Amino acid sequence: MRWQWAVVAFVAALSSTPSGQQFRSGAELVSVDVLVTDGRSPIAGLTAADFELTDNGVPQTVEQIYVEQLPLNVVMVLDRSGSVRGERLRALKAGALTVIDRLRPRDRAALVSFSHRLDLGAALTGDTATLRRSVETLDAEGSTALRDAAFAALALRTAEVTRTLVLLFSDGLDTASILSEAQVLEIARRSDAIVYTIGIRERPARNRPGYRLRSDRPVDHRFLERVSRETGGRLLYAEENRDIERTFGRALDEFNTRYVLGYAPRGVVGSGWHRLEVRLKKRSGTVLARRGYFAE
Amino acid sequence: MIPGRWCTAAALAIALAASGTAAGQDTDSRLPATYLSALASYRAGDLAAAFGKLQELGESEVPGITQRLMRPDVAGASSWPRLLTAAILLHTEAFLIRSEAGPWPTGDVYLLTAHSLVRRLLALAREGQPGIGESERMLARDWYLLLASVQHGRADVGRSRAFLEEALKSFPKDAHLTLALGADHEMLSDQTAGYVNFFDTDGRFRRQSEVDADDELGEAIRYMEQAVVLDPKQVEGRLRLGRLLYRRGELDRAAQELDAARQLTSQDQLRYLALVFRGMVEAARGQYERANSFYSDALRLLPSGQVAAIAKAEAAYLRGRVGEAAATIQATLQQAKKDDPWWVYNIGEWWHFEHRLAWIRKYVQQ
Repeated sequence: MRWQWAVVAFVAALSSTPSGQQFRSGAELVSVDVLVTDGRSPIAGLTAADFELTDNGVPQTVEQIYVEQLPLNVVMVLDRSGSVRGERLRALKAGALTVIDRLRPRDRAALVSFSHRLDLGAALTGDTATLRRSVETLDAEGSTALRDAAFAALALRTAEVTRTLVLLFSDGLDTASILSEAQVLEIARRSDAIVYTIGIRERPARNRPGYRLRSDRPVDHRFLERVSRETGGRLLYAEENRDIERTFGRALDEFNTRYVLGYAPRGVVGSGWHRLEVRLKKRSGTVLARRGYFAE
Repeated sequence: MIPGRWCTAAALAIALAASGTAAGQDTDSRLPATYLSALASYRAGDLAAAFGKLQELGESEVPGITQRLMRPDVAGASSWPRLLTAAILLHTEAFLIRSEAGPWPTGDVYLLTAHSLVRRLLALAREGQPGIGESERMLARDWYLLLASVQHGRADVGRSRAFLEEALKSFPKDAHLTLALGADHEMLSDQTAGYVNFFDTDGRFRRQSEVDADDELGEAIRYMEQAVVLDPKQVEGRLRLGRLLYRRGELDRAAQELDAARQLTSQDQLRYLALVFRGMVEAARGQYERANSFYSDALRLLPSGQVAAIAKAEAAYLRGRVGEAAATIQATLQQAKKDDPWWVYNIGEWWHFEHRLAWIRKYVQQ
């Protein structure tokens, strides 16, 4: 049961944290990464007692809660297809560099870039110089294998005990993936990574040839919305190119305000899909969490 | 010379249509020496000289020249067919050069005149014009296929469809055109959103349609089935049909078509794709070990194949072998990149562009 194992291993990772909070050794524990907002801004200062959590409908006791203590793996997945050429690529690089600059000492990052082909610009590393170089050398050409890139980022997770944030930027429709949306969403459901996606709103484009996005609403990023929702993440929009850098920073800031809830499942057994529901007990607020987890 | 696109598609279409009924009224049917020199250079394989002379002539002359080319008295009966076919190719290549650098040049005079000449060629073939037989008809067919290759390469299904549908009216039993139209629908069947602006063959905007992927998938399958019936040994038809059936969940039929495709070809690229798709059929059946076996076979054919590695990693992930999936993905993403056949397969007819262009050049220059 990969999920439980992963959380048990948090013990070692957290034993030196100032909070001193630890999971019980040997227990089967599940972690749930949640974002709590008042509709606009994250709500800080919550404790385990503020949460109500059910696993397959069975109420559970949240035993541990973490905010920001856990080291972070950020897998940046950047669309470098032909559509980002020019100003957008410069803005995208600035966004990625912002994330690199904000990494904490124990955090690491990786860079996956994609057009129709996928490249690993940098494997997971804490070496920010390497990361910066991989970002600075990006260029743009080709079509868009968005779904394949999302899968690659989810599959790249290591066995190490960290939280994984997949930060996925794309400005267009998928034109080149071998994997279907359903296939990637299935992987997203099984992954313990949280996917934040960043899209960009397009101005209407009429009477141009080829595939075009709907002109009466923002760029169709249905897949971006779905893959982030499956993992408990969010789709954020940059309104225009110059807003991309700020949106990257916003995604990371928001991720760092999330809570990691730990509980030892009681009254639920068996492998397969476990449906999760997380609510606040005594106060109002919106809780965003993954819909469940897959126990092997 | 008037720079740019001096006339609209509609105006040119009217002018060219009128030329058919006005044949004989224009007593000056001679072609400008510069134009004849451009054709001669093109036939001799000196493309730079040919395009240089065409540019020297100026595009404002092209519609008038085209009108004259359509008339039987433009040349002797024996040389008229060669004049027509050379002109078709010269105009087409001039268009390709102009379209390469930027957006599709709507109403491009070279494309419009090449298209008019193709239609004239087909009409003459139907009328039994001496010197215009099956090989000229095939040239016309291949012109449509070449154009579709270019349009697909630009993801421009909104323009290719009208040309392919028109071509199929002249060649209703042609397996290649049927496959091309199927590939046209297949391209849109992969889209999850968006709309398409459709244009007629004269470049006039006709309608804007939201992509209906299911409908496109159904049409793609229908045309591919027809293509395979028309030519059972057509490997690409079976390959595409197999993948389309897989996508519609008809796994047994998909496997049959993909196995047939593998048996019909010794080309590594086609076998690679058939193996990848075959693996995906097994993965859809939940047979991940068998899927992995197909993906491994594909990677033995093309060790740098990225989509085979992606599919292999997905199968590993679904079997719970998360570490293996990660290692597979990391290895393929770090590998020196070579072309994966999927990247071209996925662009409809585009992968035929080079050899189609070479073939029709050879026809004209022989």
